[in-house]
Amino acid sequence: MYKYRKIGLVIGISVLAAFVLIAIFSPVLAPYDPYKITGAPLEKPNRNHLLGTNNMGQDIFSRLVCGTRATLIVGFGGALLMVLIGTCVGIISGYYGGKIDELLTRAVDVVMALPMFPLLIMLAMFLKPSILTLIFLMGILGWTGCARIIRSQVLLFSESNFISGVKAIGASDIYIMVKHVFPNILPLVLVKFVFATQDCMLMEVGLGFLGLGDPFMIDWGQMINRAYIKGGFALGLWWWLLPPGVSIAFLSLAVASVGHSFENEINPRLRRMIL
Amino acid sequence: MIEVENLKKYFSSGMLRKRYVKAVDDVSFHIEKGETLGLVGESGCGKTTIGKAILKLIKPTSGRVIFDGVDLLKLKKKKLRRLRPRMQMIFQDPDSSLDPRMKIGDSIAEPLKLQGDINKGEIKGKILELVETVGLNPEHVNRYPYQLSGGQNQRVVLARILALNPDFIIADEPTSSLDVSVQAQILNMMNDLKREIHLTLLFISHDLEVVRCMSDRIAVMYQGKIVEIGKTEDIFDYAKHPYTNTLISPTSIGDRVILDRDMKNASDYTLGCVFYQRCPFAVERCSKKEPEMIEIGKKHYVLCDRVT
Repeated sequence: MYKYRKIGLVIGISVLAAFVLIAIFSPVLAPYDPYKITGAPLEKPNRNHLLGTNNMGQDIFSRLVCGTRATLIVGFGGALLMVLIGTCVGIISGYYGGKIDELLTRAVDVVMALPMFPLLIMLAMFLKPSILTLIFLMGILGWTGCARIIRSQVLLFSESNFISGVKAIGASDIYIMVKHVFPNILPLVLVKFVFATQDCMLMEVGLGFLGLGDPFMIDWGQMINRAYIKGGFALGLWWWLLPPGVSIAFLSLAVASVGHSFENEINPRLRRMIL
Repeated sequence: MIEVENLKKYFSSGMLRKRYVKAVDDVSFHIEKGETLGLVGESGCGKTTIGKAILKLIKPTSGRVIFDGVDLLKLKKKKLRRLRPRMQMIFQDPDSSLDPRMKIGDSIAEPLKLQGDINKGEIKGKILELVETVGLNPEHVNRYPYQLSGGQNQRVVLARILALNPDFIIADEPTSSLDVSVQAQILNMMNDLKREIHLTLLFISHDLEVVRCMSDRIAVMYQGKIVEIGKTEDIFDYAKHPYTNTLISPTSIGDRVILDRDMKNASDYTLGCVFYQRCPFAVERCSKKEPEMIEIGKKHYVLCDRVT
């Protein structure tokens, strides 16, 4: 079982790294300018156009490569913000306990009760659509799960002797939270971050499909949306539809695989073996 | 040096109908400079809670703790933090007393760094010095707590505490989770330190023999109350409280006192003596009126109405 997880980790990280490299070097890798009309409309995949062209004659492969960026940026950015807020709230809530904990836990309950995706759609419609808006919205709507899990872990920690010991040598609360509590929950934070990344990527593509993505950036959701609206589904133009869908599926699987391997690493029974 | 007056710590549970567990109930004692007070009692009687409450690691319900003339419980947070290095606590379980993700050396260096005004070279020298004082190997410095044994970790805890040069240490069963040979080593070391740097010590344990060899005076606790307090010899030779007698009697099997009556829920009654339900000498009035501390000898006090 352990070996299997390790293979999963290696494959996951490799695929993820490949996507990141593609995103970074997309201007070099894309054979054509993704916005320019470089061929006849709706060409089948051929030697000049690896994945054919869309209804406007733009190269689909180039668009696919350039679209990687949006998904990755929103995925990592959104997850970072989610985990940042969640970790701060979780640590403060669990460490101080008492009234502060009560208050923050209620806040988590309230935000958690909001249906995230519909709300995200609504807010994305009202606000100026851009990558930063999406990251911001995902961050402030999605931190609750992380906060809750971190809180319970910190609650456990702050009762332990070593925290009492550090308090007794005259350390301030902030020092203890930063120097002792945070490093001890870091593995958990990492796992949460990876899974949050997956969620954010899928949401980004979902929003793109609904036409709520950044209009000035190419993204996979938007590509599927275009194919859908312009009759790609009806006409069965698979080279127009499949590439973005398959890409997001692969990316999502890779991230999930990394997350599961990490999760395994923080399993308390295995922890000693690894550290 | 340290004076504890009417210290109480109640833990409450339930939202509407509050129920209280009196972990520490109206406890008063004092410890003079350089003196060791042993605190004995069965598990769950509130020994650890007293220790933590004195250092304000948990907030006492009421009472006063006066350390060197300062009332700790009235102190502002910042001033308390400045005073804290002078009072330290050794916990029962050495393995959980250290940050699992910090190397031993860093754990020992931490109090030094927090004190400030010390450069890296000095810290390094001080760490090695402390490591030697507590009988560890310099190569342990780069290890993590889980790579050391319980006894070694307890030495690390001790080194970390000694780095602060405290005046007062609360040792909460420092040896109970260690095996016997290591126990003796740690205790001997503490005894040496006591002599060398004139430590004031509150030594908490359920092991009477250990307490006997460590303490100048002994306080016996039962259900959150101190039932008898006096010099070590007096407690062992002239114990007056029936509970103290049951504690020390197993050493002389002939006239062993055995507690037969099982205890009912202690929080169910509030009147009368805490020991009433199990006391072999209890009479009617013990269940009605709370006994008071009476002096029966020099520095020897008993919480029992039936003694005289």
